[in-house]
Amino acid sequence: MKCFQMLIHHRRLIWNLILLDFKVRYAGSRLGLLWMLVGPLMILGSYLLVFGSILHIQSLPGLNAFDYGLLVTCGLLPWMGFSEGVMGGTNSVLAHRNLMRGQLFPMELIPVTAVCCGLVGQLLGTSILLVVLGIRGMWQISLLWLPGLVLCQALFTVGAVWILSCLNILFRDLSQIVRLGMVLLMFISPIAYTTQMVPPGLDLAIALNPLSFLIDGYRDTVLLGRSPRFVGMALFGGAAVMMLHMGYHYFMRLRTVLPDLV
Amino acid sequence: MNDVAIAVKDLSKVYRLYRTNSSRVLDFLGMGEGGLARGYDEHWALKNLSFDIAKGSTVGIVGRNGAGKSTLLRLLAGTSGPTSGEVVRHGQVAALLELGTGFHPDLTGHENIYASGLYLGFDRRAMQNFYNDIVEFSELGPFIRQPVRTYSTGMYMRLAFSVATCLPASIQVIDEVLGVGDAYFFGKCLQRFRQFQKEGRTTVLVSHDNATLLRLCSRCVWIDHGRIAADGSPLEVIMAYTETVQAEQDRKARTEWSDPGMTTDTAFALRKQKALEIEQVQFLDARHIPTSALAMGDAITIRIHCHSRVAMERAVMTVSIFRSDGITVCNVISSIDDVYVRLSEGRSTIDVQFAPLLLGPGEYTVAVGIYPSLDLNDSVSPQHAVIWHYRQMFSVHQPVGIALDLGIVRHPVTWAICAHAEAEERIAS
Repeated sequence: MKCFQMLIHHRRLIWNLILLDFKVRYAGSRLGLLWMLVGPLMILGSYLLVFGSILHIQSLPGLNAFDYGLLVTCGLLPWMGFSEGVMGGTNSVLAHRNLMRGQLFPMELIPVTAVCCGLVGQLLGTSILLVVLGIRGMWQISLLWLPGLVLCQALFTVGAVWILSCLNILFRDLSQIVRLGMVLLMFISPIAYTTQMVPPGLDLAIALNPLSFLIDGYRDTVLLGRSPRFVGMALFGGAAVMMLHMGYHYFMRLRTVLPDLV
Repeated sequence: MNDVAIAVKDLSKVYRLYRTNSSRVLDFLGMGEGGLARGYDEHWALKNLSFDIAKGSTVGIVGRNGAGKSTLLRLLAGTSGPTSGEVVRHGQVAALLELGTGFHPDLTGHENIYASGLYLGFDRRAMQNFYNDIVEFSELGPFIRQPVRTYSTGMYMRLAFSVATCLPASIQVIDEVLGVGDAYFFGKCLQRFRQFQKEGRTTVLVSHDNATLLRLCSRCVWIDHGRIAADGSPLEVIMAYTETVQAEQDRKARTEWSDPGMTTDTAFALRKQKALEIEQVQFLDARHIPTSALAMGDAITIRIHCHSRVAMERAVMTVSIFRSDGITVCNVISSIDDVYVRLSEGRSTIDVQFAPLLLGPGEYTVAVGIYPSLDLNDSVSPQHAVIWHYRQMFSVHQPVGIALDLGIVRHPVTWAICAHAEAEERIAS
């Protein structure tokens, strides 16, 4: 698989690009990396307020109010990583267009870097969540599945973003559409609720949403102490690899013409 | 093929100019080749170019705006792909097509050096080897720790140029970026290019500054409308190129200048009917033997053979001498010396004597012009008023027996030597 070879070959460069991206993003900012946590915490707070305290959503049997908070966090983290990656990635090539004009640079790494930067917030949040769980003695063996899940998510996002970032150059409205799509995705993904709560007529919408597998998987492994559903996991993993492959080929096919289009 | 750095074979580049954005999207998705409703026009930026660039050579590319120079450079560097044909590169290419493209305004110069290194494929550790070189060359001093957004344009460009040229590459492709600093920095840049030449690096550069190209290049290529119009020694190519530009300007000048008082129209009419032609310019040494290599301090005569089809009473003749880097060394105008050239119909010769020749060693170009009349106060129109002009080269070498650099001019001087005591004596007496 060429794209894996490419990613492994450039791993150091990708890492340095991520560092650079953060340096640029927070140059001159006081709180720096802390800003990565402020947004998610705010969303988490409003979710808890609206759904937990005002609407009194019935969470899973056997979970108390605090556990509902954990439940929402488990949904929020992958959504956050995914949507940041997709939004940042879609714009990334256009934002770095001068790199294409002036010099020789492997442009395919730019969307990859954007996705990784999106993941940083998610990983940061996940580690805090794990610390909280550790303090309460809720670590389970199923946590070992977590890296696999995140990896699949990353590969899927990178593949999707390779295609989206190209299309965005031609069709600049795409980034706006993607932004709205991510807001929509936030509500149709099982973040504040669980898949079990969805009424039977609507479960197709859940089944078609790749994020629902991911969120379910996150909850299963982190909170409920069971391995992810095999079918869902296999489908998700397969979709991720396929998406990565497709995206890479699409991007590489357009690479030579991209500089003429930006 | 070991001595070829870049081989270009039958290279073409077509840009598609889309009429609407939707036809652009359709074409991009592979649905634009419908034949009937082709939503774009084709612009052939380059058409069937073939040439080789030898290793270690410095090749200049000249041409009008929009002739395809930058497109060619992009294809040579590989930042854009050809429509047909191929470019084969033997060696690592560094492209300097736009300066400072990878700079982030909020990062300091120091951080930006590492960032651009990253974009050019050098990680932090590798960049540490070049870091001091870059900082030193840019001469930014303490400003290197300030955010780049606080830099002046000159500082910004200096840093960008330093980053781009301090990194190792066997082939360098450079687009019109030499005029980035003041005269001092420009000189430094030229020195750097000389050093590259010594190291055997191959350089391809585009510039509108003919003097720079003459100084640096071993070969020039003139691109016109996407094709090679001329290819050869810098002086020949640049002269051919500037003459075409000149001719075009003359054509424009004719339509733009309607002032009847101007001599342009007369000159143009005379030129058009070939009223006068300079057929040959000869350089004669002291023994009146034609030569093109002279020693400094020799007496030379520039003999101009012209053929006139109309009689002229008070024509003005100019002889300009340019050094190979484009500097006008002197401009001799007959009317200043109160000499007017009277030409009868038929052939005649005019001699201009330089005795002795004061020019220092080097290559020179002589441009001879004949004007029906010349207004000494007008710095613009002379080039349009000329009936005929002619260029030829000669070189001046060191006088026999002197190896020291004598400078660019051997100025006539008078020496007066006076011992101090003697002077006092003289005052006393």
